[in-house]
Amino acid sequence: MLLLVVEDEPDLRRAIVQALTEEGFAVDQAEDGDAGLHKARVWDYDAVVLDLMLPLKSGWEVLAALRKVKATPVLILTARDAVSDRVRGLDGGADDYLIKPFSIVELIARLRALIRRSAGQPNSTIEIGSIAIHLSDRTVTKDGEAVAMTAREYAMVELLALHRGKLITRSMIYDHIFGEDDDSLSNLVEVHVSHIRKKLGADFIETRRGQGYIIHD
Amino acid sequence: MIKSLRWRMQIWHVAILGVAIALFATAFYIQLHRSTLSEIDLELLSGARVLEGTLRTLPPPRQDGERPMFPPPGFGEGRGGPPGFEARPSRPVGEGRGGEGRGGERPGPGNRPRGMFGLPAGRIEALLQLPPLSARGPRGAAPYFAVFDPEGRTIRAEPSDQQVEWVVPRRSIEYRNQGTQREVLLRGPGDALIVVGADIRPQLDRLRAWLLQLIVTGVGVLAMGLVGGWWLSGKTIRPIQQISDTAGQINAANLSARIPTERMDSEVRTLASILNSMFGRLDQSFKQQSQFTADASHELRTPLAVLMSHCELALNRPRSTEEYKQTIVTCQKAGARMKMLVEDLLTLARADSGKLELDRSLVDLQLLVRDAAIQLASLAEERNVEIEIVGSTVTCEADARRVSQVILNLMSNAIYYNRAGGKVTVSSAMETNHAVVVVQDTGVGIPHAAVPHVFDRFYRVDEARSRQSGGSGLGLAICKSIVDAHAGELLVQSELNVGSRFTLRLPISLRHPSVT
Repeated sequence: MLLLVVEDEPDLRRAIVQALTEEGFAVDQAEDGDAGLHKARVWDYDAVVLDLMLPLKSGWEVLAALRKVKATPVLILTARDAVSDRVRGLDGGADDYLIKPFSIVELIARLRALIRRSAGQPNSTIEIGSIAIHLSDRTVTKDGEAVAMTAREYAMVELLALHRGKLITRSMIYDHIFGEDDDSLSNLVEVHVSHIRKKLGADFIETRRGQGYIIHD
Repeated sequence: MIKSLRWRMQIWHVAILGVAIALFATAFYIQLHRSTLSEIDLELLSGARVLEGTLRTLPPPRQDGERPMFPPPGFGEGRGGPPGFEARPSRPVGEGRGGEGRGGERPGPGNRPRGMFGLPAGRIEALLQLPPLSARGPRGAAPYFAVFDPEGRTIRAEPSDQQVEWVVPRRSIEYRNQGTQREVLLRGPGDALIVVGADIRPQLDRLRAWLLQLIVTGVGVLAMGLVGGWWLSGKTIRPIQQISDTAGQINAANLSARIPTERMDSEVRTLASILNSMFGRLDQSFKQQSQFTADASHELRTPLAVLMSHCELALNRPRSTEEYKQTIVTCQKAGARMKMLVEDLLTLARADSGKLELDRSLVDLQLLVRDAAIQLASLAEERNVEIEIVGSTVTCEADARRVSQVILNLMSNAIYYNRAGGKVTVSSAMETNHAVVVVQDTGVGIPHAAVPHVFDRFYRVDEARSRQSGGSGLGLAICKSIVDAHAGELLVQSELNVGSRFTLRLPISLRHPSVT
C-alpha cells in the first residue's frame, strides 16, 4: 500500500513516515502544499495523510485541487480541532479527520479502514478459497493455519486480494508497494510472486503474460 | 412606592385625566344649573312684572283718613269672592315681625268690603288674572303667586291653598328656594310684596339626570383614557422592553444579538446605540480572547504531537541506542518549543492584566543593540546579512532585560526576513523626551494588507517562513506589550520587496510620559 504524508513539521513527518513504513506501508512524503499536490496528482496513492496548515498551499487548497482529478482517500491530520474546521475538511472531500496530538496506532488503523473502504471491502478479512487474509493484523491463514510472510509479500497479496478479479499491472504493483525511497534490488515483483505461490499454492495468483497478475475470486 | 414605570405613568395619567374631567364636568354642571335657574327666574319675574303692572293700574286708595291699605283687608271676602279669597296672615318668618303683624294688623270684620280701590272685587280679580306662566315639566307644575301687603297679610294667593312665606324683602327683586320651589319676590307698588313661584322639581330632576349623564360620560372618557394611556405607556416602554430583551440574550456564548434601532425615537435610540456599540466591543474582545485560546492550543498541539508520536514510535518495538537518542533529542526540542510558547503566553497574559513588572534602571539602548548584534552574528553570517549600527549612545529609564528582548526580536526578524546579501541598519537617536531605535532591513517587506496585523497575536505574514524559523507568531505581539508597558511606541513601515522599518520609541524617564 502506497501512502503520501504531507506535513510541514519535519520531526512529526519523520515520526509518521517511520511508523507507517514499519507497519509495511510504502510511504512518500511532501513538506508543503505544492509538492504534496503534485505527488498526489501524479501517483495513485492508496491514501494521503494531509496537514491543513501548510506552506505555499493550504491543506484545503490541496484537497480541493486533488478532488477535481482524483478520488484518492484523504485523511486530514491537523491541530485545528474546531468543529467548523472538521466540517469544512470533510465537506471539502476528506474521508477522515484526525486531530493532533494523535496516537500512531489510531492513525494506522484509520488509514487501513480508509483503504479497505475505498477498495469496496467493508470486512477486515478477505477469504479466497482456503486462504484468508486478515487486514487488521496483516496476517494470512491457509486452512486456518498461519502462513509466515514478509511485509512485501503480504502487501502484494493484500493489493491483489483487495482488487480480486481485476488485472493488476506490474506498474501498479510498483506504485503501490514500493515507496520512492525503496532500493531497486527489492523491487523484483517476480521474486515476490514466486515466494507467494510457494506459500499459498501455485494457482493462487494467475499470471497474464506481458500484462500483470490477477487473483480470481 | 410603585417600581413599575408603566404603572406609575398610568397612575399619573389617571390622576391628571380624572382631575381634568372632574373640573370640566363640575364647571359644566354649575353653568347648566345656573342657566336653568335663570331661565326659570326670568319667567317667574316676567310673571311678577305682569302682576305688578296689574296692581299699578288699580286706582290709588281713597283719602278717607284710613291708612292706605293695600290691598284692602278683607279683599275679596264678599259674596262674589271666590272661596278662600280672604286675607289671612302669612306664616311668620321673622319672629318678632310676624308676631306683631299678626296681632296688630289683623283686619277686623268692620273694615270690609266696599270695593277697596273703588272697584268691585271681580274687577280686581280680573286684573289679577293669572299671569301667563307657562306650565312646564311632566308633572305640569303650575306656577303660583301670592300678593302680600306690607304687613305680611296675604291679599291674594293663587292657587288659594298655596303656602307662601312672607318676608320683608331687602331688595326690590329677590329670589329664593323653598324646598323644590323657586320663588321671585318683587316689591310692588305700595310696598306690596309679590311672590311668584313654581315647583321646579321637573327641572331639578332634569338637572339630576344631566348630572348623572355627565358622571357616566366622565367615567366613560376616563376609562377610554385609561385604555389609551395603557396603550401609550406600553408603546413608550416597548423600546425599553426590547432593549432589556436583547440585553438578556447577550451572554458569553452569544454576543451577536443587537437592539434594532431603526424605528426607535431619538432618546431611546441613543441608549440603544450605546448599548449596541458596547455589545460590539464585548463581542470583539470575546472573539479575540477565544481566537487567542484557539491559536495558543493550536500552537501547542504541534510540538505535543511530535513529542507523543516519537515516544509512541520508540516504545513500539526494541530500538537501537542511536534511535532512542534521536527520539530523546526530538522530544527535547519539542519540549523546548512548548516551553518558549508557554513563556510567551505568560508574558502576554501578564501584560494583559497589567502585571508586567518592569525592573527599571538607566539603560543604554545602543549597548543593548550591540549585545544583540553579537548574539545574532552567527545567524547573520549564515543568512549572509550585514548588520550596521549607527548613531550615538541613547539612555533611558527602562527594564533592560525586556527592552533587550524587544531589540533582539526586531533584529532577528530583520535578519530572517532579509534577502541574501542584504543589510540590517540599526540606528539610535535622542528626541526631546524619547530614546529612539530604528531597525531597518532590506528584506522581503510586509504586504500592505498585513501591515496593520503584524502586532496581532499568532499573526503570520507567511506561514512557511515562521514555522521554519521556529517562531510562534507571538514575537511582535510581545514586543508591543513590553513597549506599551514602558509607555513607549512601536511603529512599523514597510514596502514589499524593499524592506521594513521598525521604530522603537521609549520615554527617557517616567517623569516624561510618552506622547500618545
